[in-house]
Amino acid sequence: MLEARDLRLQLGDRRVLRGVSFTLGAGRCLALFGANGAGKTSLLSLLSLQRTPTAGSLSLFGGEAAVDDLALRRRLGYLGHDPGVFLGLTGYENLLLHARLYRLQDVKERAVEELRRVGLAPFRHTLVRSYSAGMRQRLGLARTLMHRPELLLLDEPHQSLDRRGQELLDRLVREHCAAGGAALLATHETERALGLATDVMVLSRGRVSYMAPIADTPRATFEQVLGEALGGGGLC
Amino acid sequence: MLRAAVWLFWKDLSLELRGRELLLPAAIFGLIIAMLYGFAFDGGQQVLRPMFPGLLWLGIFFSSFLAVGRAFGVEAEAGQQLLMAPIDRGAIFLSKLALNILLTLVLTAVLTPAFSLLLGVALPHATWLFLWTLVLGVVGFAAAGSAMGALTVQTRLRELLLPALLLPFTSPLLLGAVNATNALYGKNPSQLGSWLWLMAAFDGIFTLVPLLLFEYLTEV
Repeated sequence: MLEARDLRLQLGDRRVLRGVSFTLGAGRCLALFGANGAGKTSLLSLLSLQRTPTAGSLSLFGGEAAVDDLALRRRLGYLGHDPGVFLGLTGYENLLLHARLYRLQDVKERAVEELRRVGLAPFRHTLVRSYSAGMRQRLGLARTLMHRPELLLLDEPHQSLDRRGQELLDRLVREHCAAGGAALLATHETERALGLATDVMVLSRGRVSYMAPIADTPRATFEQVLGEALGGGGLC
Repeated sequence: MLRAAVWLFWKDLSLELRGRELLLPAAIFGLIIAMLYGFAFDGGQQVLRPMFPGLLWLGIFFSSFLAVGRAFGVEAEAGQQLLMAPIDRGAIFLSKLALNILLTLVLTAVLTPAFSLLLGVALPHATWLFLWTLVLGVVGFAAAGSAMGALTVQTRLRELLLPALLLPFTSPLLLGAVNATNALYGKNPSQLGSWLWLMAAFDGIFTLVPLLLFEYLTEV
């Protein structure tokens, strides 16, 4: 589903990604760890086609990915640090706009259904400005899943969510992967991500320092790798 | 692209109608400028008429700047999602252009009679040509503002960078608008056509070039 080959990204004089290669197949959920500044968000910006890599290539769903490929964008779902919702619109209007931009059918019914799925149906006509941070994150999750993407790209999605919200997120991601989708989850929530993911990848100073299926990773090995990465693999 | 632009325009208009964060402060600012001009220049119609086109267009530009300059600010909330959407990114520019034209037109409709009233200078008799001049000026300023707004929306020094880019870039438009309005008051009337053509060319360039380059502008 996703194949990154030697992805590099340079922003100004800073080499953010220094050759990242990995693959992610259907039904897999990859947890991405790394210190602040290790390049997690930058990697997600490349995978979500928001940026073009300085070098390297990216293959999505069997074809070469390009930033202006609208058909590919439709198959991706991205939830960033920020839930990416308009505060001056209601939850319902946010989803309605999303559905229309993605040219979905039965937009009104879909919007209501998604709001119900994330527990926001009673607040559908409330301005998002009045939502708590956790409610905004739930709305962002509904928006991300609404067009049924095949590949989910989630950047610290547990942030702001309460325990029930985190459980909801985990359940939806599990259902997505069980249905043949794939997910990549950049996170600092180690325990939660390990319970959710099938594979683990550690990014350190713009490079992949470790990647393996969770089942093949002894806990001690993982903690050592993660400790090294978090100890000095980020901003320098 | 047009359908997506219409939905995005609906979104922008809904936000503005609810919040009135763009138009209201800009209109108040423009009216204050008009009042201050009224106090500062007390010379009667004969003295003020030669200065009126310059004062009017500066008032329109400065107050519109407040609205146009902040119109892209809302995209800081969820703009990343728009960039991810399967739409031609030109639709984002088109929707913002439409909003900025609407805002600047409303401001101009409020400020032009206010300037005339407070400075005591009658508007030109050639009403249709004057309206045409106003429309060309409004569209050009809105187009340049939309382009520069897109370019600076992600920058940290946006508040400083936007005027530093927008005001010099729009100086040919200001020159054209002031001279065309002067021509309508009888100063070098034969040059009216040239000034209107200059403004139309500015409008065309600042509408088409950003539309074509918007995909690239949003990646910078």
